Amino acid sequence: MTRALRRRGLRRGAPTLLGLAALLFAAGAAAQQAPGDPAGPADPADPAGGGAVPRGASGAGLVELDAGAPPPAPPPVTITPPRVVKDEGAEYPAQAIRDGVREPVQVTVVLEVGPEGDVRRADVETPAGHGFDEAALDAAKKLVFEPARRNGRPVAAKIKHVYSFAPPPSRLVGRVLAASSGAPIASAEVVLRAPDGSDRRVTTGADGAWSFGGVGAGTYQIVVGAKGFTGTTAEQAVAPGEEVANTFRLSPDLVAPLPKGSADDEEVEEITVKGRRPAREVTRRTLEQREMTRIPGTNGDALRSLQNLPGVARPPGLVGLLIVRGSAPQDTSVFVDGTPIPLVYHFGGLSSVVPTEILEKIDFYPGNFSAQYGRAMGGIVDVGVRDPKKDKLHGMAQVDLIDARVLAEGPIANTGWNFAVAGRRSYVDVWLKPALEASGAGVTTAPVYYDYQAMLTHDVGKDGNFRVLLFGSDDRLDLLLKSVNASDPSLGGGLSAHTGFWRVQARYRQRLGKDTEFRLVTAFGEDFVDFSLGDNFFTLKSHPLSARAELAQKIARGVTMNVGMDTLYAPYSVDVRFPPPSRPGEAPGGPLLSRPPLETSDSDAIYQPALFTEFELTPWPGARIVPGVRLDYAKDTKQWDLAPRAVMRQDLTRGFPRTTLKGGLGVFYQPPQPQETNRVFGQIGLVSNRATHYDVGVEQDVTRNVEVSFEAFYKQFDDLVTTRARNEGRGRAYGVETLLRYKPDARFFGWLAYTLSRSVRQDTPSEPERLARFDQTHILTVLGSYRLGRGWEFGARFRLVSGSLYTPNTYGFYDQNAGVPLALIGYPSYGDRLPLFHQLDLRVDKTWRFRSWQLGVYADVQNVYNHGNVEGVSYNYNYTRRTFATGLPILPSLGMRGEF
Amino acid sequence: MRAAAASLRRFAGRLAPGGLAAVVLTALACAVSCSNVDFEPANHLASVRILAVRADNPYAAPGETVELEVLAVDARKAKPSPMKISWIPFVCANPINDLYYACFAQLAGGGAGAGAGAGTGADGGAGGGSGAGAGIGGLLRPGVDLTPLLPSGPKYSVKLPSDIVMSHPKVEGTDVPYGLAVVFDIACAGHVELVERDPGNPQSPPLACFDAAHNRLGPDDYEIGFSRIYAYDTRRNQNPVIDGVIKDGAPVDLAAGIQIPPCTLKRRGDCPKIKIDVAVPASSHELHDGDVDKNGVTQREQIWASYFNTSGSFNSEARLLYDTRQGKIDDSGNDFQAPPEPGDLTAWIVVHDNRDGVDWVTFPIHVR
Repeated sequence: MTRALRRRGLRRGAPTLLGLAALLFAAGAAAQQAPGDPAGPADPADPAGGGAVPRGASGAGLVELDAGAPPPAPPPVTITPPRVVKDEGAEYPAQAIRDGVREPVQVTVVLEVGPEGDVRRADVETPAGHGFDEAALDAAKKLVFEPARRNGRPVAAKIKHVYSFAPPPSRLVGRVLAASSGAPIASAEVVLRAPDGSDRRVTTGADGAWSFGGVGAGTYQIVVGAKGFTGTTAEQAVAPGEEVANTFRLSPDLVAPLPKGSADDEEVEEITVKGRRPAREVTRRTLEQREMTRIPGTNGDALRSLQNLPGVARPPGLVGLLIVRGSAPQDTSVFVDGTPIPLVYHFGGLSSVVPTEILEKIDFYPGNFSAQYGRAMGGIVDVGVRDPKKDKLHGMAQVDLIDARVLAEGPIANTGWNFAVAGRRSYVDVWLKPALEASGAGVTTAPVYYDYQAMLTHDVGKDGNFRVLLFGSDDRLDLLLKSVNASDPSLGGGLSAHTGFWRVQARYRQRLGKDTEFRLVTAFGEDFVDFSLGDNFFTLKSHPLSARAELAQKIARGVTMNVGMDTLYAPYSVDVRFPPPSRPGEAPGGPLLSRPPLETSDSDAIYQPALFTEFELTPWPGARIVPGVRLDYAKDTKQWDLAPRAVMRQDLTRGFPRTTLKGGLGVFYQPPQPQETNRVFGQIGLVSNRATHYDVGVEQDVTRNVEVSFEAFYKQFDDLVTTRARNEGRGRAYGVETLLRYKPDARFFGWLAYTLSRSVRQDTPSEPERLARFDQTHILTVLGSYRLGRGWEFGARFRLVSGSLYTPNTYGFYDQNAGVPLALIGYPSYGDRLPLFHQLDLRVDKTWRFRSWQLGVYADVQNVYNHGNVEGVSYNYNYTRRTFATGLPILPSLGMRGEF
Repeated sequence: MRAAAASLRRFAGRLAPGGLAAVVLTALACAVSCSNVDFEPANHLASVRILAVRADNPYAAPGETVELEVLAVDARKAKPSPMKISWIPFVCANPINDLYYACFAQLAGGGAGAGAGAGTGADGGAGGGSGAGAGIGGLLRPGVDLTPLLPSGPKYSVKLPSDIVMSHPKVEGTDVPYGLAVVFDIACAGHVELVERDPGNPQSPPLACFDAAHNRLGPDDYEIGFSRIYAYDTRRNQNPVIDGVIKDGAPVDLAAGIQIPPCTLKRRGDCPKIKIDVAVPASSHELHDGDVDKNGVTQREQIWASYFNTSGSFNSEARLLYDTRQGKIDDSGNDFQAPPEPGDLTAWIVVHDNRDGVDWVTFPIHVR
């Protein structure tokens, strides 16, 4: 995309005399009426001298300032308000354009007009910021009036004068060219579709140029078509006063004979204005910044917003998990710009470890993902960190009831480098520590979390970019529980947990030529876990080194090859003392302390190199076929896993409204976890877990902003690692997903997502098939957020989800060693389901824009109608009585954010 | 990629069912508010209850005889038939994966070769366990009153097989070899019969308690307990010792008990509290052989006290006395509030260590 920004001539503010209200001042006494006040004439006997307020043509109210001694008698008083004789108007401030102000703004100035008609003094009544106040004052001082008159005598007066600033119109310009020759295409039709759905059309001239003037700020759809060429559509946002240029390069229509000598054989993707690569997956769902920060009930947390997408189950309360299309949480991998991270959420799922402020977008692949991703058989989440702003220094500070965060970013002098630093600390300890101490617990470290990010970027030549990013997370607590849990004495005494990670990531991107691009991401860091409970402990330290390189090369017409490597090397040391784990569904033999603990102290390394390749094929118009293959090696299993995958998309229509059929088939391997191959806690001779994904679906444009999609999926799980049963586990997950989405525009975004699914597992062939732990039959999410104007935004989210599964317990036995009753646990496990979950969340944001900064406050209220959603089952001491345990009640969260 | 931290963190999650986060949050949640306010507290006795079983030798040697003594209470208001303690004369040695319920298949079906040892009841009844493949379940059928055949009384002696350590499958990750014997007993206000087990649930018990009309009794009238006896060649453990009971800092005469006025206030929380603690000498806080922390330091036991009462209320069901790392806990006492009605009630304090050591003390509380 080429995007040129040019400041256009600034429009004069339209002045208006305020003629509705009267402000009467006399002899130092003030009787003030607000604008619009329909009050009649003031009391003529008013000793302050405020006589009747005549309504002139302008309607301006006035007061004679130089009132002398009280009049001896109340003769009829005739007052003529001042009248403007010269007004050059106010310039629309450049700062407002830079700040992206899109709303009309009015600034009221209070003027003292002298008896000569000059403006003696001008004051802004209510500051509007963004340069509007200065612009209004500058203009006001140049006003010339015919003075006010009292009984024909010129007198000084005070009036209100209003300047109305309408955002200056923007302009969209560009050219339409043949893709590879660059020759201009004349007579191409360019349609500009406004946010309100109205269309404007122009035809390109001989030079291929087109333009639309007088365009209001907003997001527009640009549809380009030309005879003999494949049309294209792009979305373009434009700010007030901007001129944005777009060059469209069209490919020849392959079903029509090519003009002789034409070399227009490029792919459609090259004409995408925003340069976003087309999907290499069946489904890629992308959340933009605005969506991430405004979804009610998520507290503006980016990764929590993922839980509202189709195919993602609602995690049980106080647990931060990503449960994708019936897969186990550990089957979904999370990356930060291609680098895997070990944690997604801080404890309790309160917030994710990467703050929203530094994110550009989140790409979520619920299944059948590209061969560039591996070692996962559920879904993929790839979080895109944005580059620092380059224009000037910016900062942000935010506080809410959970945490506080700061961010600073900008250029480093004129070095070409840009930086960003950010940090966050939770407040949970502030209120949880007193609560814990009141309950009798000794608190050394109350639960607290941190995360931090630092970034440097530099452009390398015209087509390259280099970035270094440091980011990390830290969660810790240290307690002494003096009241022992009567149902499990193991949950008493010392309890400490310290988990975290950090990464230094370097990313380099370079366009090596017209047809070649190289991308490299490498990272080094540390993962650590230090957990102890009584005399059991788990300590891990690891230093993972990961590298991912990809070369994209166009090798023929409609054929692009991507080839890459993806390697992980992670030396680690681990010390564990814990009782042996139970098999899935197996009733425990008692509390933790009832069995002799197992111990291991081990140092080893995870080594998992991989190679992958994919071809992006566009063999005929509207088609996109992406076959690929990935070859993974795992040191633990000493095996190679070959995973072929294929994805196909076919546009059935050209241009708007788009109809796309899509489908995919792929094999996905996930090596056993280190603990599963550990000689003490695991098993030897394991192979990788395997899943086969099948997807088919359709996407349909309904309007320019509304899109609906429907997908059916089936996943077959084989060779699942099962405790003490090697790779005998198997299972399947299947379902349908629908998404009706209104893409973000200047006012609104929202969607309706519904998933119907079922996920089952069979731990060994001899055992019955059972529902997977996180199976949720119905998941309905409806959400939306609307900008009301004047800085207000209102959003709502409603969720209706099948209850979580649980395993019923009944009266059982008495463990005489530990002194606790043990339940007779239902078999197979997860045989019952909790009641339906439903919840409404609301969010209100208000933003005030000032001259050089802005302040925002928000209220995010979860569970507005205070529904007692069931999150679990509570039992009495011997499991003869039970009751449902409900989750969070109505929970308001308030936050404040300032930024410049 | 799966980073090692993620993997091993999940590993911790698997070790502690529900995940590491769940453990932490459950502990936190319970520390703050997990008091089962809707249910009767576990330490308020109103039914047939087993409170503890004390082995004279919590860690036994192969071939050694271990004497078990049960502390059971019949706290029912109405007692149509008395509670009786019966012992299942079957020593389940080294059940599969050390799971107590893996013994049921042996017990009901005549065993799979693991049953061994011998037992003797204190109050009579047939003693003696069976050797390989001779469980009582193979000889009797449901509907037959087993009580006359079962050893009964508060004490029971068990002789461990001499090969109990050698015959235990090697467990990778344990510091020393061990064997495990499981002994079952039942406190039943009726008589004991065999019942058909649910074939779909390995935990399904083979025994139940019935009244004279062969009606199966409910949880208020019986409790099935089991004791694990770990056997080591050399490792030993001593039961903790109770030196006495302390009320508001002063020793309590256990025979005379504690006197306290009734509390008739509407809000139970406003009732006066007395602080009751149990004196356990530091010598009971033994080193935990083989329990070496990540810094190479041998840790000590964890010791806690469980409180039971027939009336009134203790603030906590159990209190920590000694922590593995932090040692003696200073404020280990438990607040007690009197009931509204005058009368005599009984309190029990059972002290456990985390190596199967147990001791207890009983004393009256007079509400005057």
